[in-house]
Amino acid sequence: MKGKTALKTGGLIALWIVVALFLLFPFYYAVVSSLRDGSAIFEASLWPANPTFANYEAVMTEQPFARNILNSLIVAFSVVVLSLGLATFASYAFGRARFKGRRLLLYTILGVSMFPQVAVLSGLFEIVRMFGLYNNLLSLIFSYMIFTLPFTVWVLTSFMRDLPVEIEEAAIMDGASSWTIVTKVFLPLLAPALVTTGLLAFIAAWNEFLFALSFTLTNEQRTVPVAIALITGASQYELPWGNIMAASVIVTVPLIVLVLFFQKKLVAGLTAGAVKG
Amino acid sequence: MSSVRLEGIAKRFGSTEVIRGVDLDIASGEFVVFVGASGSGKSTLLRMIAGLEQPSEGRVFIGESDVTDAPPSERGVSMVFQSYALYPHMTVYENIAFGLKLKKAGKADIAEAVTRVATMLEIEALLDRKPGQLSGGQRQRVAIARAIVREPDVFLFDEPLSNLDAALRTRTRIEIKDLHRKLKATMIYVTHDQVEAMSLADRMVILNGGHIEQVGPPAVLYHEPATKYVAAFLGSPTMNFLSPTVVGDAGGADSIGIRPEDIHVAESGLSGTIEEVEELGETRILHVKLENGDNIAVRDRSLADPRIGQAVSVSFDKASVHRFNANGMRI
Repeated sequence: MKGKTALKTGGLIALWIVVALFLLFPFYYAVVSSLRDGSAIFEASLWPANPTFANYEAVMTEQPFARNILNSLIVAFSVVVLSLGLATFASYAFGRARFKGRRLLLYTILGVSMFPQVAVLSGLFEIVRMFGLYNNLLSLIFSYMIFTLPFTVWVLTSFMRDLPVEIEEAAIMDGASSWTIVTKVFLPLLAPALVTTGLLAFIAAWNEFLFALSFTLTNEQRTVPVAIALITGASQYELPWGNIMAASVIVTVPLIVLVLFFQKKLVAGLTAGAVKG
Repeated sequence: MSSVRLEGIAKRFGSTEVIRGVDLDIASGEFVVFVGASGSGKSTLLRMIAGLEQPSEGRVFIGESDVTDAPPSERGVSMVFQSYALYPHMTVYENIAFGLKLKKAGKADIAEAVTRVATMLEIEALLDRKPGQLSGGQRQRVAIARAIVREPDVFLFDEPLSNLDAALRTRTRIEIKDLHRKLKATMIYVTHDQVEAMSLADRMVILNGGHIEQVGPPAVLYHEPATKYVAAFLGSPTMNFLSPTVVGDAGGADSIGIRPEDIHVAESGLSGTIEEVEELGETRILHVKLENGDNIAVRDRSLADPRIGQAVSVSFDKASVHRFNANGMRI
């Protein structure tokens, strides 16, 4: 019996190591490559012989990369705040109020997220031009809500629906208005769900490429993914891998920090959502 | 405190009629218990007094004012819910203070009011805790404290004890009764537990299928049930219903009822056999099958050693017989 358990545990550990390697090796290799200078980047070893931060210096000085990071932060945070704000009130209506066309509206919102980005790109471009938002971060904030709102609304609605009705009624008896019920009673109870959906929205907005490429023109308005893709070397025939790797590592770190910081709540939110369907 | 008056209250959910034509007067300071089986409409009736549900027809008066269209917070009522419905993210103090804060009461006034109620319910030591750290009984007290602190004219209780274990339920029952005496407030209490209802009520309202079967003090309802439904609803084991021929002259009754405690094992009388024996300590219930085929329960511990299958004779006093006509009304 004991031998069997040990074998089982050993097998599990081996499996997890394989999974971890599969997930983490690309990132590890990016880190290692970013620390290599010049032609050392084409060595195939797992450890840099002479680690140097020259690539990081280059990426920050040769283009407005700090500005690009700031742009990405502005866009991602705005998208998260707006999505969560709108979705909280929408989910209160969807989860709590009974009105005609509720299901239809809910499925329409879900339907929006089914269109591939390319399909809406040209139409969206016209709208952006019409509002005079071309080459402006507002165009990105506006267009990213197309894919963040559907899932924030859906996840929060399912959470909202599962909050006990009696708590809401107790608040009504206490004289609370709908506004007070949402902000003072429901919002704190929704915290795990808000963290989870907020983080997913942040990641989606942070990584988005196609809209960011299409709706911006100048280097000063670009977000990080576009900026990295457009990093150019000294000549047309050179790809500055070192700079690209350094930039990639810089933009991955905030996501890792965020996820680790909210880890506990994130897991709670994900599993709760899973059980409640 | 205030009186409560219901006039011609009806409630429909879609095409199902949950409450049909209820009229009721509740005096100021009275303790009234709504009791009935599940689906009898007792909770719906309470929620319409609270304002959480709108009646389809009829008016609700609290004191002299018509509150039918008033929101719950302007009716001068407060409610204790079955699940306690405490705000899980707030401390006990914040839970109790929440309503006062919304009323924009001063900080010092709130602190004083919360302390006063907490002392009354002996939960001063718990004020800094969250509901999740409390036992069921303690949560119940917090829920009651939250209801009291607003000094309402009318208290509404929606099956507040059904989540507590039996011993705690009995104790809390007495405490609620005590509270009613101290506050002298009007209280309306919903339960499906007849013992709870009888022990608490000044007057009981027995609901059946959305209408009132009978209203009155517990003893009156028990000893002079107006309908067969009430007779059968109150008492455990339930009243024995026999064919009227058993008593000879039944006075035109369609059926007669005798409570188990009014029947005794005797030398002579109706004969039958013991089918089952329930030993309850202070008493014993014998289930007897009579010769005419009727099954009856007899509350009697005079037999030294009753055995299943044993032949017995039972008798009862004619005065203890309840008579009902074909419509189930008392004669």
